[in-house]
Amino acid sequence: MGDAVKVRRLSTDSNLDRPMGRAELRAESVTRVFRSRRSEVHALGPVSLTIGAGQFVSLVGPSGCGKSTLVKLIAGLLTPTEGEFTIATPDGRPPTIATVFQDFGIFPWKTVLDNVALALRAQGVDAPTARSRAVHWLERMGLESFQKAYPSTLSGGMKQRVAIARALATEPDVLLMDEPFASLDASLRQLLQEDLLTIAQQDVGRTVVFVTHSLEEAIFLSHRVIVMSSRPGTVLDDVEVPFPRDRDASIRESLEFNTLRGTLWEHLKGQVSRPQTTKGR
Amino acid sequence: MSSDTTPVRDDFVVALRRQPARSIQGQRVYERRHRLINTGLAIGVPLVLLALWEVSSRTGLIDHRTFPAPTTALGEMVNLARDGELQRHVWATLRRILIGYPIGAAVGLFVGVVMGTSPRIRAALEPTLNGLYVVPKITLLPVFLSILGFGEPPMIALIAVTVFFFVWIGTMEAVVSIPGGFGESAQSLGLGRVATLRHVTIPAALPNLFVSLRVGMTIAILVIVAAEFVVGDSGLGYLIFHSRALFIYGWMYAGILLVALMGVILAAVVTGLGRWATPWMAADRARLRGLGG
Ligand SMILES: Nc1ncnc2c1ncn2[C@@H]1O[C@H](COP(=O)(O)OP(=O)(O)OP(=O)(O)O)[C@@H](O)[C@H]1O
Ligand SMILES: [Mg+2]
Repeated sequence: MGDAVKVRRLSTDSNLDRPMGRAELRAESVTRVFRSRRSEVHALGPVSLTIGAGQFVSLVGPSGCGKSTLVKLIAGLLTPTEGEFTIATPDGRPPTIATVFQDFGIFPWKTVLDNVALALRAQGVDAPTARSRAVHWLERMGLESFQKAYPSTLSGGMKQRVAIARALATEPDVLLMDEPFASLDASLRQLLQEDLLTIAQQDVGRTVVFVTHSLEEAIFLSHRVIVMSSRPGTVLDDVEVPFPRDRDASIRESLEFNTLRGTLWEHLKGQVSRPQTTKGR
Repeated sequence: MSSDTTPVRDDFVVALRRQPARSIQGQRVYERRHRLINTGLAIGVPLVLLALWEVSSRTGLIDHRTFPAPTTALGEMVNLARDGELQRHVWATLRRILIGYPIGAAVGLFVGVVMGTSPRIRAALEPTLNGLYVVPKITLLPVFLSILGFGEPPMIALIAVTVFFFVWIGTMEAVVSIPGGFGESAQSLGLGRVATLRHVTIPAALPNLFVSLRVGMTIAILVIVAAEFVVGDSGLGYLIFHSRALFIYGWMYAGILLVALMGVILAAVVTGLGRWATPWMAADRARLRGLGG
């Protein structure tokens, strides 16, 4: 992969204190247009952006601005219409990528345990190891008593936790999460945010792209928050979060946290189109 | 029930009540009764119809020569069974199905999955197969007779081809209509072609696939009985058709009854296999039966 070398050299990684990352993501004037016989939707871009190795980056933006499209581009499920997307690794070997999809992406015909184990089996992990690792992550997600259940018998939030367990169990170089906590109740959401923070702190090598509608969540978890404009989504704002990697829940109460949230909200607010019939608050 | 639900506002009266349909204990009793009633109806309705027939035939309400009483027909059936003739016919039909159906189903599944997963092969073969699909399969009997001669091969080929078309089209449509998100999910897990087929494509298509397998079974019986009317000297179709020619209506009805019975049993076997193969659909099935939910 010649690209890998090129991108690494050109990288303007602002997190030089984190040399442990295993994959750097870079978008160069990427656009995506969905064409069908009847219509043409310019969903995304042009977006240029570098996500440093080991960085935890949150994407926020109005509904329909192309966040999921960007995630699928990174995951390799879509190709850009224009521009180029590259992933660079230290040895030029393709990184492992795991994705938590907005609509869960778990398989209804497999039990909770088999859903998680399948991801590991796909990576060549032997069956007994896959099983015990899957059990470990299900326990971590509070699903140990539902291992043998089929997803159709679970609540929305439980299915989402299965999807999260599946992604985390593979211990990927790049973790893509598309609104993973959207259908969880507030307290569980907070618990899992703290869990994810701990996981991110333990494994500093992982590059994470996290899509969310919650500014608090974005600030709390990430090193960097990217605010996207309404469709076609472009980078409107790119803000470093001024907290150290080793942070804890108490930062939520700090003045800096709330000031940052206020600033980001100011930027985001202008992008959210209100229904024509109602007057702004 | 005994709790006080009098409105706080004394100028209001209760307008709607939402109460438990039944207690937990009662629910269990209800479910058992629900099952009992449904089973009872399933068995009772045909029995009542047979009883009505019996009475009408015996009282002369309908002509007992063209419509012999079920008990009469049963007697003649027992006579036919005594010298093994009935068993020979049942076995002839059953054997043709047991050989022809799996062949047709297997080839149909294979071609359906291949065409469902490859747009290129679909583009190449679909118009041709669609053209053949609309041809009533029984019209192929003369063709098979001239190619394969008389005897078992043309009969088995007819069943196989009939089943093939139903299973092929059902499988292809089931595969094509799998939501794209599953494919993306499989791709993101890094599943290869074979693993995707095994862990995603086939299970996703399985529920719809079993619908076409069941329809295929019913059509197989229909076609083989029709073929037996015209060719050969065995099978339930032969028995039905030739009893009429001999004016032994009892045998004719016995034959019809046995065809129906065979159809019900074979379709139930396919349905049972489908249930066994799709355990994740159990909750949906309970809802369909009117339980739970
Ligand atoms: N497969 C597709 N075919 C056609 N249009 C699509 C497709 N996928 C997405 N789009 C369009 O692209 C735009 C961006 O969609 P996307 O799902 O990326 O938005 P999003 O930012 O994730 O929104 P949300 O926050 O609501 O999840 C939308 O207008 C959508 O209609
Ligand atoms: Mg989305």
